[in-house]
Amino acid sequence: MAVAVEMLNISKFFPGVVANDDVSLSVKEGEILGLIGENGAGKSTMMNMLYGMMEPDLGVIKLFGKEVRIQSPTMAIKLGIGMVHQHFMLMPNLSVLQNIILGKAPTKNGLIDTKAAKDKITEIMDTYDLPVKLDEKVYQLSVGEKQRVEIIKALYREAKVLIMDEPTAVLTPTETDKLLDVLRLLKSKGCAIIFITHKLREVMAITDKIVVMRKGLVTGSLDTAEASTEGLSNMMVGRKVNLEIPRKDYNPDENVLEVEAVRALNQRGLPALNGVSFQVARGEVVGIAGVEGNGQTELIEVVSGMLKPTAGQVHFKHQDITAHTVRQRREEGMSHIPEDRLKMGSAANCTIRDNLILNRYYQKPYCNGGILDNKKLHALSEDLCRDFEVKTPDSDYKLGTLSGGNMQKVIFAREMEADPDLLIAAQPTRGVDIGAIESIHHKIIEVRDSGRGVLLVSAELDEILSLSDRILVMYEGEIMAEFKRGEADEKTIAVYMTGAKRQGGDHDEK
Amino acid sequence: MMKNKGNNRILSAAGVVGRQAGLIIIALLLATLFLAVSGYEPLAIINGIIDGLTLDIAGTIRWATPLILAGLAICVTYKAEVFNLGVDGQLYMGAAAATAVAVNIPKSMNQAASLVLIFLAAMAAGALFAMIPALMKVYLNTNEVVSTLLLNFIAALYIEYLVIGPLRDPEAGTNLNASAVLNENTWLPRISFFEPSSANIGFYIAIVVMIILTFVFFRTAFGHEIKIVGANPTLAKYAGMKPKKTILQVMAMSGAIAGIIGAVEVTAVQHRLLAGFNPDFGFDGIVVSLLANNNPIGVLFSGIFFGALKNGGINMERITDVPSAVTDIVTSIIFITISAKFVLPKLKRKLAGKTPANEGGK
Amino acid sequence: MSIAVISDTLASMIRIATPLMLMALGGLLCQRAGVFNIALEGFSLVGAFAAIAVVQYTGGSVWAGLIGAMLIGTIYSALFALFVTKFKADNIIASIAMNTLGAGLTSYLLRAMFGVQGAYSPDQIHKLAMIHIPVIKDIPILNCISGQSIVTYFAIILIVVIYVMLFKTKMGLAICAVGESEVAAKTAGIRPALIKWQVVLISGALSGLAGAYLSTISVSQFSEDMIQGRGFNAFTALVFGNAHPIFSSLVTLMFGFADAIGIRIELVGMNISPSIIKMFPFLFAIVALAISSYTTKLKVKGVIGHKQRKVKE
Repeated sequence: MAVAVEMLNISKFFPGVVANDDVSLSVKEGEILGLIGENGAGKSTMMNMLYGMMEPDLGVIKLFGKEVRIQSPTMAIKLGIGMVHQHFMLMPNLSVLQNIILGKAPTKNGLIDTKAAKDKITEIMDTYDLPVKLDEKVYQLSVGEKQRVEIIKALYREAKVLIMDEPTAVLTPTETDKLLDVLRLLKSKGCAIIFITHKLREVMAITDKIVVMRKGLVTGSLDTAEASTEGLSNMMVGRKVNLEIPRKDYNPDENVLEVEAVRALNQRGLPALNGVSFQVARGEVVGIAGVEGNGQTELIEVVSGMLKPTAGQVHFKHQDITAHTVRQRREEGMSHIPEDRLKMGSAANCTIRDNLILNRYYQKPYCNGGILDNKKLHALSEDLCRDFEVKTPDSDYKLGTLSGGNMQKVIFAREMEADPDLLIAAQPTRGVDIGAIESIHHKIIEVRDSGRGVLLVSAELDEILSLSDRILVMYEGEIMAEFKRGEADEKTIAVYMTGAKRQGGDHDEK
Repeated sequence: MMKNKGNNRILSAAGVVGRQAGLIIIALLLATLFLAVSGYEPLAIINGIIDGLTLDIAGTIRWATPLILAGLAICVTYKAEVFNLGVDGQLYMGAAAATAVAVNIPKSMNQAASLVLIFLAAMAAGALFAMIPALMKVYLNTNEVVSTLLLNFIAALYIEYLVIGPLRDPEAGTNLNASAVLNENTWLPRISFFEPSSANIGFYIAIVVMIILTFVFFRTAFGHEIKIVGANPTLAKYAGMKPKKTILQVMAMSGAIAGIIGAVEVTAVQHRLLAGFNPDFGFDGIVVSLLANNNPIGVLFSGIFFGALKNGGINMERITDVPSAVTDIVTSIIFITISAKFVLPKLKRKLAGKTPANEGGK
Repeated sequence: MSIAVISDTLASMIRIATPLMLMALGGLLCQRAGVFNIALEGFSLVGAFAAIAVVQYTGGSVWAGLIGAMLIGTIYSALFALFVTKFKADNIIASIAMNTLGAGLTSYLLRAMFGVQGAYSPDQIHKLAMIHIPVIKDIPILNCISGQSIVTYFAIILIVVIYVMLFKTKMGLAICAVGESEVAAKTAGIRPALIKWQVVLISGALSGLAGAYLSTISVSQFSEDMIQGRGFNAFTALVFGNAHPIFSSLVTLMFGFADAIGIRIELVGMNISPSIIKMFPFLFAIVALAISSYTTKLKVKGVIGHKQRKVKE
């Protein structure tokens, strides 16, 4: 089979940063290349250059042996490159059909020929076993369906090279298996696939060869047959990582949080929580597992006071706080690491200090009669930056100048400074590198060991399994199962995550 | 490290000021070109500004007063990422309330007391009128940009209604639509040094408002809330603030400041309510505020600059035949260039390398 | 009210709505493409001036005035397009700047070119004949459609053209896509900047024509304050009409109706101040804006509209 893509000696510089330094990779027709590395390793930059979103400063890109300059996605598409982005590039209010044919619609007499388009797409859907309803609006689709639309979109444009950017990050285990089947089928038909991920198991399962990147450099390039998970992980991180964190024996104290039969609606007014009850005790981490969008977000918002439940109660430290405001709950001892640190947890355009003082700016001694004591606030934020090892010269810099991991440290510092009795941590390690993951995990266990409660929500099952004392599995706004630490493995939990089973009786089919 | 940081700060501040100065120069050059092409004295506008800042400071102060206040009214809301394009309407309502109160004040009343009454009424009217778009935004999710623009017309027509109808001066000629001249005890004093110009102590009021706002923005918990609500309303909600309340508060503040403009124009400049007395101070206020990077202290200086520009244009038209509308063109060019997010590429690279992410205006 | 009066009111509603409709049709394309264009006011003011200037220099040709206004309107809007695309200007600020610049420029040029202030009427103007449609002109009530100017009929045809373009062609799909997500459109091979240029220029041409309609067909002069918020009303109409060509045009007719009724009331001599009557379209616009934002809010919350499907794998 011919070589489809060659990226040779590629370098890309951003102000003050070398994003890619002399990186080379190649993939043949009918081959799957795994491109792995931590966040910020430079994988996405490489693929953005291949897809024409930016151009390399040095180096050559060859397609099927011919040197090319890819200046725009339009050119990339013309050259037969398709990309499925991690964040789907779909228009929620347009139909599936419109999304697929956008930019390449067949026309008759100047008008879009819907029938011709549908015929062509149906053929693709049949060939690759990718069923989707063409007339539905994209916002009505599930995550898995959206991804299918993206793949169809690429195939509709006759892509011979397919870039998959972290395609499994948002999928259930079952959906992941399904996707891998589709990729195998594509491969057998001669498609060249570049598969970006940080999940080593999938890389081992599906790729033919692997390129490992770290800090803009290639740290390994090998055939999958020769690779081992451990070896790859060392290449990715550059050192041995120990995600096993020492912890005190499990010895739960009184309940700090009690959630009783809570129901709530999501932003679109649909039921998101259908009678959820659970408790969190002092000295334990309760982990909530589940595919994203099954009510976890709403659950956290109800507990933290941002969303009013339609039914049920929330008790905190033996007090009914269902009607309490966010501020009251914070003052009563609740802290919250939000799942989206940019959208909810911080203001990137404000200074680090502005972000750090949010719990304190209105309280004595930092504020007297509405007037800020800037000296005390400055001292507070400098102390926090130091204690939580935020890498910055001082806290007057804009938060946006920090890396993802350091931003997360700022949020952690702010929430921990409040000395909470309950810490809600949602996706605490999303988008941060392994070094930061380690320190964040340590902090969470520290909170638990010091006799406070932790409510952990994560889409990463590994994280849930390694940190939680008790694991609750959520599906469609209900708790399907509860396990003690060590009682269940990933596979068992995955079954409950998809709603296929329910503890204490079969799941009644709706 | 500390010293280095200080230098960076100065560098980035200098960058901002330099950029704004560049915009002004570009606008003035373009306007000069305009004048040259249409056969007028090319240097008229530049001379006008220079005269405004040297020979005729009084006229500059007269125009700077409403412009500074309008700039402050804009920057209060802009900090919270709310766009109050309704300053014109709110100042009309302020003027209406000021007049309505003033005509009912007995001649015998003490001047200071009557002025306090008048200004309180004007501020309340401006704030209340600003509550319409604010409440619509908070409760109905209405875009305040469109609603405030529409309300401006309603306010202007309302003034027209007043001066043709209920408040009309019975002794005025048929061509003049205005209220009766107010009693002298309701006049806001002019600055005696500048007599006979209509430069008035409204200028001092503007400075006081500026100082209050600076204090509120940088030294109070409320100021911090405004900043966070503007930067990220979701964060504000998550941190336990009440973004909706903050939006209502800043709109009320903005409307009240706009109301002051109306009261100043009526009690110090016109001494009566005049249909269409407002040459779009509200829109000019946007430029004033943007040129100052929405910083209240900066608003003082950019307000004086635009005051000089406006005054220069008017003087120019009086002495020569150059149309004063050329100053509107200068303002608009500054306006549109400031809306762009571009900096000179070279400067940008330099700043990007040396200082923390440097934001170049909105 | 007699049938003749009703028909007369409806005819004047259509006349008043014509420029609003033209502006709204251009504006809704911008809206669909994600350009917040409240510069319609300024575009049409420039168009109104250009039309009168061209009429003056061509010795009275309204046709030349209309075409000239569209051209000048397009050129003027190119400045807006340049700033919005190339310089990533804040749409709202750039729009307002285009409005103030339009006011400044026309006022300046009025002095520079014609040596007058406030208003100017060309020496000669050959008014266009109104078009009377056979048959329809004799049907009571419906005859309000007859006897309108060519621009009105052009606007009506344009509703259909824009409808088809928006919902049945590649261009229309691209416009909607850019408005929904620029990045996503880019990855599908669309050039968002190009699309934005196109819609802004179209709105410039149509607003220019709207202005020309006001200065050469409604009246025969240019005056500095002649647009009087029509651009903002047109914008409100397209917001209320959900940026849909047919609905938005219907809303402009409602605005026209509010205005026409006001004129009737004035004629009948009811004791209402003309200033209050002039508020009608604005009051109507505020209410329309409130209603449309409220319904959108409900829609987002899923209270009304939006077919929902239970998402299940």
